Amino acid sequence: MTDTIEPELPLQYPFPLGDTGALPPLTAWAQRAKPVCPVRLPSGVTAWMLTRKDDVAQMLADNRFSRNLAEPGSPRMVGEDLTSVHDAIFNLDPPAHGRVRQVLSGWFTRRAVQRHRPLFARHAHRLLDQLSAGPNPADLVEAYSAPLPLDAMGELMGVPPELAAECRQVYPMSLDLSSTPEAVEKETDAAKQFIARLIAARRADPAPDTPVHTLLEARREGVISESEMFGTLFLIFVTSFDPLVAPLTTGPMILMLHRRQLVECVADPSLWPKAVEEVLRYFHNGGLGFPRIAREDVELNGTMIRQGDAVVVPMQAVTWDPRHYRNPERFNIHRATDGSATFGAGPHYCLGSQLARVVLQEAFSALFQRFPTLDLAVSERELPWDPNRMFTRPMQLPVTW
Amino acid sequence: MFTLDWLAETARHRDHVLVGLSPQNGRYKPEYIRNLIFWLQPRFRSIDVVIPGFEAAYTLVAAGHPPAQAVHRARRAYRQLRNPAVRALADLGVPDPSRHVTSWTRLHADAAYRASLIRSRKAYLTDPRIRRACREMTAEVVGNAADGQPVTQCDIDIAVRYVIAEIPLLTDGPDVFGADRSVFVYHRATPLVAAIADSGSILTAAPGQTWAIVSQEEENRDGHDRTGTPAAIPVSAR
Ligand code: HEM
Repeated sequence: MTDTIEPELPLQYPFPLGDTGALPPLTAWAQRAKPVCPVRLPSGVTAWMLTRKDDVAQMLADNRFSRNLAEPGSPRMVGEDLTSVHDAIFNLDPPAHGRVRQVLSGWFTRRAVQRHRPLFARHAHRLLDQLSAGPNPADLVEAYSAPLPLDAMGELMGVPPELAAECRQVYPMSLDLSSTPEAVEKETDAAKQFIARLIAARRADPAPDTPVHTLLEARREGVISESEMFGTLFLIFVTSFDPLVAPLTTGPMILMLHRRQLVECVADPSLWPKAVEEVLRYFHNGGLGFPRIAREDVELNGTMIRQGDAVVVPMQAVTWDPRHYRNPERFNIHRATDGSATFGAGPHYCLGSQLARVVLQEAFSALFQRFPTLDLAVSERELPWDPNRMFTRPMQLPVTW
Repeated sequence: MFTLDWLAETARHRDHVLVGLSPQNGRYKPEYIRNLIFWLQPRFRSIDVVIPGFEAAYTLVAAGHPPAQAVHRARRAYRQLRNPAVRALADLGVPDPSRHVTSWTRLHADAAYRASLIRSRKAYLTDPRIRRACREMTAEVVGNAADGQPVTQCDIDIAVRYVIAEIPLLTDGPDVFGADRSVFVYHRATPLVAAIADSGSILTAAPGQTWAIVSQEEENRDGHDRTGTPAAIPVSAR
């Protein structure tokens, strides 16, 4: 859109979305013309937005940028959201960060998560049985993309049956950029209450071999503090649901829109991991990530970022950076590059990246092996993308088979 | 050449008009759509046009059509309603006309529509009067599409989603379309609007929500329905 016209700065976030989830035109403009670009967040805070892969990798690994957003007055997207929870792994800087991360990392390694494939496959097949028995056409988000993480991750995390209903009320969180600070705080508080009840339940009746148990044990042994345990549990619950619903929706959508590549995967299931990597590269799971704060003045790509300034990254820009991905706008499961960069970089690199891959591989293969003719029931132009959701996706995906 | 019959005369206003186009009814042909929009647009500060989403296919599925065919016809019907509406708004000089012609599917992008749809589904499940109205309307639409075949409760269970998805437009127009007052304009009275309008239901309309029936004057004289060509989704006109 803005090859010739300079948009007014700071850019106002959220940006209008790109067609069918392509990189928003304003993000693409910034990447070309203003790699360190001022952006006004809905909260009124102005942050520096980085959009080039090399800049982002450098900043995310640079100790001069802090992740700790728990202090009151820290830059927010809207209001007191999940980043306001004290001592969550997300919010910790080294060395505390490494100590807490160490507690969980064994549970999330590539090897360790493979054993959960049957669990995801079982939930996927159960939901697909229901889909098949229900009306055709149907909304795939309601039937599959939203309940799959709730059911499967809920089981994996050891949500007790008496809290299952509350879990479904709290997650996925809406993280709505158009809502008020009060509504955001209320949403955060509801999730905190759920986590407090979960902790009480699992202290009374432990569920071994869950990340919840691992954190509770580390607390008991004095490796982490009570608030590190609480905050980190809070965070891994958010990440268990919300970030997965987006690729579970956009993945099937883009595959149906690239029928030839989909047919290849169905004919040769060893291609599903390739398809998942390209879905991860193509969409990320949302728009801007949460801010970081400069601890001191830092010069980046010719721009001086002052101490106390906020810095944000739209991770989709990284995986659409033409310096690293040729023809990024082209969806191509046969790329040599993978989707790793969508999970960030540096010490806070996504802890769940291997688990997310397992979930998506099981979910896509189960869906399309069962419904190889699955197709959109409306034109892709009709799909309801909500630019105000932090985890951006079509809110409904009507399909027929 | 049209008349607007307000459900509550006292609620008359000129703020926002929401026009519902139906693929199930033979009157919504390009010329009628154009005339209707040309007549309504100057009478209100703002106008939006809504067209059923993918749920339109349920009527045909319930009436016995294979799903793929039903979806294909519903998509075609959507285009046949949308294109003349966008053209009419463009010719009237409404800026960004395609933004003002929306399918229910597209409306899911809006948090107010989604919240209202959740309330509507709850009302259908818990309020006998709303439930009855939704099922009656569904039975009638499916019955017409089924061409004399008996309509089962199971058919209604499928197709009632169509009627439920429209409820937010009858209750929350002001919020969804960002207006103080909004009138929903349709071609006939329905038991659903009646149930919502007389506050005995758990579904309450937002402040500023009103309803009106639009009719074409010639239609009153010649009986439009008998002269109509088939609807986009062929259901005999009522
Ligand atoms: C496709 C899905 C996912 C994507 C794209 C994604 C992406 C990311 C990104 C970009 C970060 C870094 C944030 C930053 O540095 O500002 C992150 C952090 C994190 N993610 Fe994920 N994530 C996904 C799924 C998951 C899942 C399923 C889990 C676990 C259940 C998870 C757990 C975490 C945790 C715990 C962190 C914080 C790590 C730390 O602070 O050390 N993620 N994720």
